[in-house]
Amino acid sequence: MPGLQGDDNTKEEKLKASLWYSIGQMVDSAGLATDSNASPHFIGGLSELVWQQIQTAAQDVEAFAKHADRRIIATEDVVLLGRRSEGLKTVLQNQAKTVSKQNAPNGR
Amino acid sequence: MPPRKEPKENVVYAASKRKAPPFKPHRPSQVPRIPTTESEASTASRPAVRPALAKRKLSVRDDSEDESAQADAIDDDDSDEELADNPLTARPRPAAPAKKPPAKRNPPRQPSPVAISDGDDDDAFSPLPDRDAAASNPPPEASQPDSSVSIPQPLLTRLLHEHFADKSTQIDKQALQVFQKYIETFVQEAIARAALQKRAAAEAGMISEMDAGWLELDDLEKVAGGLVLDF
Repeated sequence: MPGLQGDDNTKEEKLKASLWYSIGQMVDSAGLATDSNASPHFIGGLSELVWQQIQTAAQDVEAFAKHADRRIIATEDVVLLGRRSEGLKTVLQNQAKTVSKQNAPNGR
Repeated sequence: MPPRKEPKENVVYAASKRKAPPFKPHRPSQVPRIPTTESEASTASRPAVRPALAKRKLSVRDDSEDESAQADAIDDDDSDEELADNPLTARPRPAAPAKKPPAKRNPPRQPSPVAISDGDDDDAFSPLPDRDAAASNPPPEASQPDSSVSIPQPLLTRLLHEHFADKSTQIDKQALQVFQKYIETFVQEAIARAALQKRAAAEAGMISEMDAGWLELDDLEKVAGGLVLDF
């Protein structure tokens, strides 16, 4: 009989399965580019790693937004995730610029 | 000896039996119904149009189904007031990155979780061709992140909200795209480091050259610590 706990577990399992699928596709496309291949265990482990990373990052950006008295996470909060690594910071800042440029002209 | 009511009953049964055959062809699967709209034409025989029944067959797809439905509903609700109220969306933005979220205007604005475009990602990631019909319904947005593969935005939204401590926390649509890039970078870095580690091990002669292109869990484990520290 699936109770509340059971429901939670299935939900998490389904999310992890979806994540696994996405990661698998990313690994496959990366493998095509670099002519390498990955074992299913690799993909599974990487999915778990990404799951943990998303958890950490989600709590981080939430804290950043809270610190700025906001309830909505903004681009600057996510860019802050790259504060410890120069290269990552550049990547995120460039992406933020690209995204805002893409959204500015059509304005919605 | 007097005739009973059986003949009548027989007549009734026969009538009901006769009724059944003409009813069957009315099933949608057997009668080609003339579709009324363009999208219906391509999705007429698809069971996935009833999300409640086809729920969770493929969670990525269902997510996007839900998201798009939600997005339509909520866009209808507050699109006009949003346009009128929110100066950030009404006026063309300056070239600077949109780092000013509408902090004072929180109430009228419904950020990303509902406003995500699902068409772009699904086209890229879903192997199912019937997504085209649904993807063509919302207006195509010019916010295609990039050509490379990444985690679909609806899934990422769901994952993020799963881990937020405060359930009322929401994430901006643009912020989500940057976060998508973050995760994409993370995955690519993991693969690259694992491959590098593997190649170094092969050159050192610890494993055969044959295995150099085959990434194992061990390779990931060796680089995971440094990777997580760097991100």
